[in-house]
Amino acid sequence: MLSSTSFLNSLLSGLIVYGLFCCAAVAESALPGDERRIVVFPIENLSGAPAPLKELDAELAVLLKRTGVRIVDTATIESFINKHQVRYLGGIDEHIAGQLNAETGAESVLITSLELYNDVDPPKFSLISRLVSLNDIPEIVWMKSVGIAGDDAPGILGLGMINDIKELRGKGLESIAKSLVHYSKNAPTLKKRLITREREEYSFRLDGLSKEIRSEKERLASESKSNSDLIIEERLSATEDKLNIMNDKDSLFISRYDPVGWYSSSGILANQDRTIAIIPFFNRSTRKHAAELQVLHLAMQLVEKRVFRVLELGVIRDRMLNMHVIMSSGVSLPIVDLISISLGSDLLLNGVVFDYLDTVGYGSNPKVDFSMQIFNREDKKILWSSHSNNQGDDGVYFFDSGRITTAAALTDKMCRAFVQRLVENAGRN
Amino acid sequence: MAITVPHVSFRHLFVVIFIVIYLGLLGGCAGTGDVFRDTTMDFGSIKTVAVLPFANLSRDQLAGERVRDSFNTMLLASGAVYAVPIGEVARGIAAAGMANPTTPSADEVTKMAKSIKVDAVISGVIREYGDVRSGTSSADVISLSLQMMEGQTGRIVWSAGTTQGGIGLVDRLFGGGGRPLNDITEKAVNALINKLFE
Repeated sequence: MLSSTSFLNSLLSGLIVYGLFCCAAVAESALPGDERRIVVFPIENLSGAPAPLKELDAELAVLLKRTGVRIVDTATIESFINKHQVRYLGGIDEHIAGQLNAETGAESVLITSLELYNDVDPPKFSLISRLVSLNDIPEIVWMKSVGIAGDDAPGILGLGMINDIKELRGKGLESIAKSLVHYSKNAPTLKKRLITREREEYSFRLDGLSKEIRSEKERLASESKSNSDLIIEERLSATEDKLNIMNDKDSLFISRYDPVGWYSSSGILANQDRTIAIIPFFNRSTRKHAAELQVLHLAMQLVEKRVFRVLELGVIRDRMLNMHVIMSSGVSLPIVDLISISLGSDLLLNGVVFDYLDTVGYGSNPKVDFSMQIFNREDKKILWSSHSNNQGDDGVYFFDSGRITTAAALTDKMCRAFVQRLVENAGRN
Repeated sequence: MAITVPHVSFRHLFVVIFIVIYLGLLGGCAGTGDVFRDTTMDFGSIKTVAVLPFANLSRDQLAGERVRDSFNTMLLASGAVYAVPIGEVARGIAAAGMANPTTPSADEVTKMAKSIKVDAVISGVIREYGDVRSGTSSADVISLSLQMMEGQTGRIVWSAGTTQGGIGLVDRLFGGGGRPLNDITEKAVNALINKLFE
């Protein structure tokens, strides 16, 4: 029999050991050299059906903390939302971003949208997250989507089946958290390139009068690094980016998700210093929020491949609301002017979603059909126009190998194919 | 071994030349099918076109918009003409005060062409879009016709139609649902664009 003193001693020592273990765990989980804090907004439900959002919020927060991401505590965020009466949590505008940065000291905000939450056997779960920098003009710096179903990899005798939605969503959230941590550790630095105005001025000088050319040559010679060097660097860098995208490990089978038809103007330059604003798409499908989801998937591929700088969607929404921009059937030229000048973006992307279909049950076959156009701010011309249409069983012939079970995964592939074609065509000018 | 060259008389040569010329002339008598083309129109002068909303006579409510979108993209992709954005066309329709943009009058066409600065305007009708049945077989079919109006005068300078898909002999004999609707839409749109530029 243990005496009360020895019991207390052992309890105390146990607590000390536990405390040390916890400290060690916390120290290990914090990302080395990363003092940036992230605000995690409550998850926005775009699934069109009820979902346990609070549970998902809590689960995501726990996972992020566990993986070492420094997040602002929930109570602070809630008080901020209440204080500033923030009603829209699917994006962030400049004003709110500035206040959030000033009050919480956070450098970025994680905005998550739930795309699909279906617990009918086999369960399905789709989620898309983006990290937005809280700079002067918020910009999307990282994006990741997950679209999984319980029967994605059934394996032999169905041993790989996942029948519990909680297990499935845990898997999905974990992949989001891991990707965010990976980004935090290896955040890519944007390469220094010639901005659009400088490039145009340079081309004007080349086409100008002979006197101007002579004087410009003298001026350029005096500069330590001339614009021509920058142009060469830019071209080399663009080629490097293009090669990286071409060498994508998934690019082998991506052609089946190519747009069915596309037009590419010679004016496209895949350039990080070109800013693109994605205008809300038109939804002609039967699925609620299909247009918002399509925009998110497109933005994700553009951000992932670093083709252009992608403006935060909340900023565009806010600006359009403030300017009372109403589009009934598409973007007209005055609207191109209005939006691009007010946002300072070089390109505008707009489109229509005709189908965005997720089906339930086994052997599901999602269907996605959309078209889009990219407009140039300078001459207000269409630079890119394409129409994409695919189904989950496209190119599937044997034993359901390669079948896609969610519209999220299918859209990702289609958008990736679009970006690849865009980059390929951009290099041809 | 000596090679013997057959003797070809002038008469034989004349017959062969005559047959070739005759067949060539016979080809010229072939009809243009369902294509109308104004012979006095200089199609090379058309650089910018506006595609109006298509009249939809099918059961699918979105057929007009789907086909128009596909046609717009393929027209741009042809590289021959520039199709103005759909939003800009909508602005032109409003500016011209078109009551029914699917069937515009010559005046409305000229007004619209002037306001959005296009050389020609294209309108169309979708007659069939979706599945058709015949006995136990079913397949998707698309049937549409388009017409191009000159921007300055509003007169029709080109008109063509096409039908793609449907139930063929193979479908009747062996079953099968024909080709997907999007494939035949693409085929129909390409067929019309070929007719426009041929």
